[in-house]
Amino acid sequence: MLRPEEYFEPLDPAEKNEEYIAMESKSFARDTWERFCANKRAVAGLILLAVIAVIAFAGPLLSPYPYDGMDTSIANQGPSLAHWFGTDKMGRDEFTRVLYGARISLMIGFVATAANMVIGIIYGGIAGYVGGVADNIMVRVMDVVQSIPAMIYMILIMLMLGSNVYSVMIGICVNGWINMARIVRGEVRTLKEREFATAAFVLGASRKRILFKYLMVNAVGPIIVTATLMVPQAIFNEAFLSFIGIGISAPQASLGTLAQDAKMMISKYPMLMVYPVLVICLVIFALNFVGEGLEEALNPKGRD
Amino acid sequence: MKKKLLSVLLTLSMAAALPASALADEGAALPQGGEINIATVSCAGSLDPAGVAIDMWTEYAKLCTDGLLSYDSDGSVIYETAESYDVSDDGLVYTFHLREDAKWSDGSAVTADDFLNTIHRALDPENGGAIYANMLFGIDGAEAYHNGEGALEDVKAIAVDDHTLEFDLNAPCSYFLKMMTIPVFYPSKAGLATNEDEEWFKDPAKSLGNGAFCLESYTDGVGYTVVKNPYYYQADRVNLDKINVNFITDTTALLAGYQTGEMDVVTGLPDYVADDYTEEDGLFIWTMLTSKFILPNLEVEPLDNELVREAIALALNREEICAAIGNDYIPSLNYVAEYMLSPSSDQYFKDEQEPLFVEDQEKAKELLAEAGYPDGEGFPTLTYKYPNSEKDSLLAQGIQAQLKSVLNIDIELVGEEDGVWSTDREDGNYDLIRHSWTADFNDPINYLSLYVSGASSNYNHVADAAYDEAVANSNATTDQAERDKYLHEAQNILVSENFYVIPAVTQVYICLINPNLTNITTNDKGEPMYRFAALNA
Repeated sequence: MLRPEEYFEPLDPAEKNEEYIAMESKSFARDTWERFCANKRAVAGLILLAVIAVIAFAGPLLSPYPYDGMDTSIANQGPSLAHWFGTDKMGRDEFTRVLYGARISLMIGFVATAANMVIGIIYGGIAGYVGGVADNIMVRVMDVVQSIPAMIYMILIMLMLGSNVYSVMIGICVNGWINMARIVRGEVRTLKEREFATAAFVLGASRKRILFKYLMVNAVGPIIVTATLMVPQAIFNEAFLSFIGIGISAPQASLGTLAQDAKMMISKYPMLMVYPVLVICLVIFALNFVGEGLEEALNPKGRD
Repeated sequence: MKKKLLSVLLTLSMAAALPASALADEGAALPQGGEINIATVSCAGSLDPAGVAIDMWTEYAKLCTDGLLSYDSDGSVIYETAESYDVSDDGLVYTFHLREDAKWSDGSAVTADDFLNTIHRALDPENGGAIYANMLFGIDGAEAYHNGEGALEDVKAIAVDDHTLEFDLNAPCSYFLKMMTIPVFYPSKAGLATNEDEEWFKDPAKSLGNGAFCLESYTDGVGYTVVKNPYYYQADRVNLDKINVNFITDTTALLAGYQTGEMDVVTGLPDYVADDYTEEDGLFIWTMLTSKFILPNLEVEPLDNELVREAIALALNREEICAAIGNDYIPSLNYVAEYMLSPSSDQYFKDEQEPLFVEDQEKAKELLAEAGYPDGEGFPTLTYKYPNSEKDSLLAQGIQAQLKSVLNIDIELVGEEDGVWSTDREDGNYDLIRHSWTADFNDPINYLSLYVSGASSNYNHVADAAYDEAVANSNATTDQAERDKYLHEAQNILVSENFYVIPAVTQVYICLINPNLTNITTNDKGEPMYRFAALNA
C-alpha cells in the first residue's frame, strides 16, 4: 500500500517558480510590432510594399526618360536593355510610366486614407461619445451619405472639378470616411461605459481629454486595421475611375490609366496591360497582408 | 436649267479604297439568297428620319430607305424615288417627279405625301428631337413654322399631286440637290409614322421600307433584322434575303465576331487591324467626310494674335502625331474634309488649291518671337480641352508634346466628359479646344457656313466681313465653278490668312467585309453600301 507521502515527489529546485508565467513588461507598440513580426506573410507584405514605395518615389528620379513627351521613332517597342518594359504608342518608356503610375496611385491611396481617417475619427468619436439626439442625427447623416453609391459622387466630382489627382482624392473621401466613423463610434460607445472612463470623469477630466486620451487610445487597434484596408480600396477606386476614362488627366498616368491605355491594344501588345496590372496586384496583396497581420497583432483575443 | 446633273462621269479615285473583290460586278450572274450579319459600333439615335437620325439611321437607310436622289462615289447622281427634277430659272423652285412604281414594303405606293410626312414631323415645333430640322430652313416658311411663329400651311414644300413634289425656297440655294441625302428629305409612311407614337419605327407594321429591304424585327439595344422588300422596284437587283444588324459597342468583341465568322461586316475597328489584314482578307477603309481641328479662343490673350495661332498651326508635325494615334488618323492641313468632292470638278476639293499652309517648325518659332514670345518666354499656360477618349487623349498629348518641344510653350490638357466638353465649347470656356465636324452632305458649304458671323455654330465668334462676303457670294451664284472659287476664297480667309481654326487630322473608319460578299458599292461619303450585295457560297 502506498503511503500518502509517496503520492508526491519533492520538487527539483531548478523547476521552482515554473507556474510564474508573467510576460516581460512591454509597451503597446513594441508588443504589437513583435507579434506582427512573428507573422511571416505580414512581414513579406510590408517589405514588398516598402520596396514598391521606394522604387516608385525614387525611381522616376533615376530613370533617364521622362514620363511625357513623344518620339514615335521608338514607339511600340518590346522590352530591351534600354527600355525594360518596352515603349508605348507615343514612344515613352513604359517602365518609367509604370513607376510614375505607381507613385500617383500610392499617393492617392495614402493621402485619401489619411484624410478619411482624420474625418472618421473625429466624426465617429463625437457621435459615439456625445450620444443621444446628436448621435442619432449624426448616424442618420452617415446613412444618407452612404446610401448613394460612391462611384456616383466620384464621377460628379470629376465632372465639376476636372480630371486631376486632387479631384480623385476628394471623390474617394466623400464617403470613404463613413466606415471609419462607424467603427470608431462603436468602439467609443463601449469604452465610455468602462470603469476607467468613469474614473477619469469623476476625477474631473474634460470631455475632450477623456475622448482622445482615454477612449481613442484604446480604440487604436481597430482604427489602424480599418485604415490599412482602406488604402487598397482607394487605389482600386482610382484605378477603376481611370480605367473607365475619367481618372487623372494625360499625360500623367496612374496604374489605372496605363491599363486603360493598353486596353485598346490588348491583342497586339498584351504586355502593356500586364505591367500596370501586376503592380496593382502586388500593391493590393501587400497591403492586405499587412492589414491582416496588424489585425492579428492588435487583437487582444489572439494573445497566447 | 433642266435636269442638269451636278457632275458627270468622274474618275474613280475614291474607289481605290475598295477591296478588289468587293467592286461592283454587274456582268456575271450573282448568287441569289443568303443571310449576312452586320455589326455596327454605334447604336446612337433612332430609325426615324425626323428624329435623332444619326448613326443608327444612317446604317438603316442604306438598306431600307430610298430618298429622292443620292450620289455615287464619284459624285454622280443616282435617281432613287425621283425619276427626274426641274429647277426654275431663278433657282427658287425645285420640282421632283417621283417614279410611279416606287412601293412601300406593304405594297402601297410611295407618294409625295410620304416625303412631306417626314418634313412636317421634323418641323413640328413640338418635336424637339429632329436634329436636322434646321436643314429645311431653306424652304419658304419652314423656319417660322418650326419656331412656332408660322403655320404649317405656309411651309412651301408642296405635294402637287401624288407623284410630284415641289420645294419653294426663300433664296437660291446652289447646293440644294446635294442636301437630298440629309435624313429629313427621306420619306416615312404617312399615317403610320407619327410624332404621337414615339416608338413607331420599332414596329415592323408601321416602320415600312421603300428600299431594297424592310424591317422584320427590332430589339432595343441589340439590333434589328431586315428582309428583302418584295415590292421594291429594283427587287431583281437585290440578291440577299436577310440582313441582321447587330449593335456591338466593344471594338474587341467586334473583331472577335469577324474572326469567328459570326459577322460578315464590321465597322469601326481598332486601328491596328489595318496592319494585320489586307484587302484580300476583307480590309475596307471608309474615307469619312470628317475633319478634326483645334478651335482657338479668339478672345483670349495671346490667341487673339494671328501670329500666335499661325505659329501653333505650323509647329505641329501631324505625321508624327498620327503615327502615335494609329492608322485611322490621317494628317490634314485642310479645314474642309479631306475627301470632300469639289462642287465643280472631278477632284477632291483640297486638290484644287495650293496647300493652305505648310508645316514649318523654324518659321513657327520665328512667328512666335515676332508675336513677342521668343522661345516661348512669357507665354502663358493655355488649356486644351478634349472629350475623354483614347484617341483624343493621344491627339492631345501629341499636340502638347510638340508645342513644348518646338515652341517651348506649356499646354495644360483637360480631358472632359462629352457633355461637359460640348458645353464648354458652346460657352467659350476654353483657350484651345478640340472640335470636329462630320459633313451632313457632300458639299464644302456644309463646313464653310459654320463660321459666318452670328451663326450658332460659330463657337469662337469669328467675325470677318471678307469671310462672310465670300460665303454669301458662293450662295448667290448658280454657276458651280464660280461657287467653287468663292468657297476656296472663304477657306483661305478662315485658315491660311487668319487661322481662326487650326486644321489637325482627319479620320477614316476601318472596316472588315467578308471577301465572299461581292457587289458592294460606295456612296459619296465613302460609306460601303450593301443593298445589292451578293454572298458567294
